[in-house]
Amino acid sequence: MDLDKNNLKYYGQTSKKKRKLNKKTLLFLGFLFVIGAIIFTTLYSNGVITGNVASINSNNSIKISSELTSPDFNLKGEYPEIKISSNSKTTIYLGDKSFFLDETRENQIILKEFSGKIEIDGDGILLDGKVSDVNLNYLPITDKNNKKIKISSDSKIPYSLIEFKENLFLKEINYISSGTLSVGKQNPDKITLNRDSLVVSNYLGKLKISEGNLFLDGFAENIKINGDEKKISISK
Amino acid sequence: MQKRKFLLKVRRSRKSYFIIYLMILAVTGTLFYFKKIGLNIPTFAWVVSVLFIFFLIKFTEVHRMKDWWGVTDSALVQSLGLLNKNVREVGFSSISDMDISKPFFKRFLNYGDVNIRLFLNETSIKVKDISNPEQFVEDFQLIISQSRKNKNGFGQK
Repeated sequence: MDLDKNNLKYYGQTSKKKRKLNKKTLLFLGFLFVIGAIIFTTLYSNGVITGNVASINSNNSIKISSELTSPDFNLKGEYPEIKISSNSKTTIYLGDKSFFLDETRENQIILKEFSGKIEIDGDGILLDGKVSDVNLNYLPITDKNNKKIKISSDSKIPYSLIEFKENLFLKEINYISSGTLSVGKQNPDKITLNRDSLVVSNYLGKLKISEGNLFLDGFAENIKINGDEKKISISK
Repeated sequence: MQKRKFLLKVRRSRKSYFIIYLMILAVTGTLFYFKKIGLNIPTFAWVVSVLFIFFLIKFTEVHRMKDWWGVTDSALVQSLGLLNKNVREVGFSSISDMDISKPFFKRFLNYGDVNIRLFLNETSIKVKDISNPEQFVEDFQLIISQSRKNKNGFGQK
């Protein structure tokens, strides 16, 4: 009896090779997902995506500007440009070199592409991180191999001004404050604070601290003020 | 039941998981680099990375341990699977020939497959991804010839 090959039915069985290929493909896709998750969430978690800044645009947020007493800041991340003015004696370490700044003049320190930690309080600024470029009293300092330079200081750098030149994202500013806060784009409302609790959520904008005052100019998603004589909550 | 005494026992070489170890290295390298340049790595990224690395290491070890091939003084034993074990024992007299398969990439790391063909066209036994397959074949052939010598010696008596 001859077997007619055309009558043979092949039941759909995935071949071993195909199964192996599927496993390998899944593994590779899993690897790409993990690497993508690390890169995406790390590089864009400082204020550009993660759902926070996506909602911070001029239509969906509140325009604010302020002249308030300054809180302490504890920042960590990447900052395109930071300007610091100091007229106190201090030593800054860049790589393996130290730079002494005296108190006889207003010292200007401009840090480009700083990544690391910044602690700001009433006593001064503590820096610990790396920069691609430093400008010390108009003297540019870069690494000859174009690598990032480690920057640090022994003690807090007393400052008269610190300014974040490009938009800075802060998840929350929460402290007891005094001063004025302007809310709104056209014909802004001015709110005076007198040791009132201020909470600003998801702030994106410029930040400057000068002579103990905090100057904000940007957008926020939510503002809450809680004081003896007032209770204000603004959100978009 | 007496425990079998193996003259030779092999498993998949860790070299065959080179690509997986490379992936682990890439993930840890990325995390290390971002940490070094001072970036803040979110918890989500840490959790995903740790889980991924843990899963990969577990997978490679389990995958490696589940199959093994052993040679006794009279037979080749193949054991496949960890939970559902499949053990096959083939006497030396059933073995017709062996060949080594070492593709281009595996040659760099000196590991490959040994295909052991049997008489009567039965399914051959493939010893997969072992380190230094030439040495395995050499040792195996030595064991087979030793076994035959012992048999002939016994027969002549």
